[in-house]
Amino acid sequence: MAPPDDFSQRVRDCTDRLAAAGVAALGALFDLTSHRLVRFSVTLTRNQHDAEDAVQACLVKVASRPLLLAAADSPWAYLLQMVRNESLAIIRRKRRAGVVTSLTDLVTRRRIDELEQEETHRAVWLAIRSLPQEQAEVVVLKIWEAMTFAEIAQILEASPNTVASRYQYAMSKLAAKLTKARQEARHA
Amino acid sequence: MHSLVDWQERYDEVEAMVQAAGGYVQASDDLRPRVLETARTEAGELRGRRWVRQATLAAAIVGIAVTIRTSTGGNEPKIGDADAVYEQASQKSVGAGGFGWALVQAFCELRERQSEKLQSD
Repeated sequence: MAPPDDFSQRVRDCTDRLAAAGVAALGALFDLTSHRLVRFSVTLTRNQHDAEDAVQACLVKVASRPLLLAAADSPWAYLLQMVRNESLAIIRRKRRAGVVTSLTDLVTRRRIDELEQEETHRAVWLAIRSLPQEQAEVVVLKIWEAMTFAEIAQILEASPNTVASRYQYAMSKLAAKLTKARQEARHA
Repeated sequence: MHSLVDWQERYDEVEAMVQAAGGYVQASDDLRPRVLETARTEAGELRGRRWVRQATLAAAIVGIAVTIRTSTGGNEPKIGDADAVYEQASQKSVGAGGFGWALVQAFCELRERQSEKLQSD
């Protein structure tokens, strides 16, 4: 994975092109960010369909008002914040924020060379889905987006201490769940 | 101290597992065309709405200009009016008891003509 600063710079380049060329440049921004945005939104909405709706709404909004994103200090952080707000709005509308105990709604990738790890990936996703939304989003931004607590705090509009505390709680839970899952897998 | 190291190792291991699972969930194949199509449609609608707004604004400006022109056109002071009234007063002054009264009479007639014109409009 490219370093986060490099990725942020690439997002900025895309948003600049979007501001200059309009909707014709949206494809590049989609290709660069959609996977990460869907992944982030899935942890909030706990549903692939809702997550894709949230990402679609955001990117369409960005395409119609590209200066919103281009004027932001960090377009990538702003985009994540937009997706988060959209995801939370969908959750509020559908009242679907409970814990999900399966992965049946998700579109997953199965690479031949990763088949052995698939069980681990599934266990990780199930464990993340079992976390409270506030903790799950911190884990996603910290580990997958390689953000600092200060950067995460800006996106979540919380203090860095709160964010760090949520991360600690989340990691404790994940460690317990994943250790248990690993032990079960060994016994089976 | 030993347990702290254990915890750190455990956390590192969990972080590595989570990191590796990051690519497991994907966006569905139809999301890209769906997003681009919706964005294009919205951009087209936006352009259309902007065009209608601009056309409406232009029409309103033209309408207002025409209305102002029409309503003020009849009352515009004519350059020759003062000279005409003066000329008329000079002609009438012979039988009207002096130029002053002739001027008053000429003004009254001018007012009557303007009043008639306003009523006819």
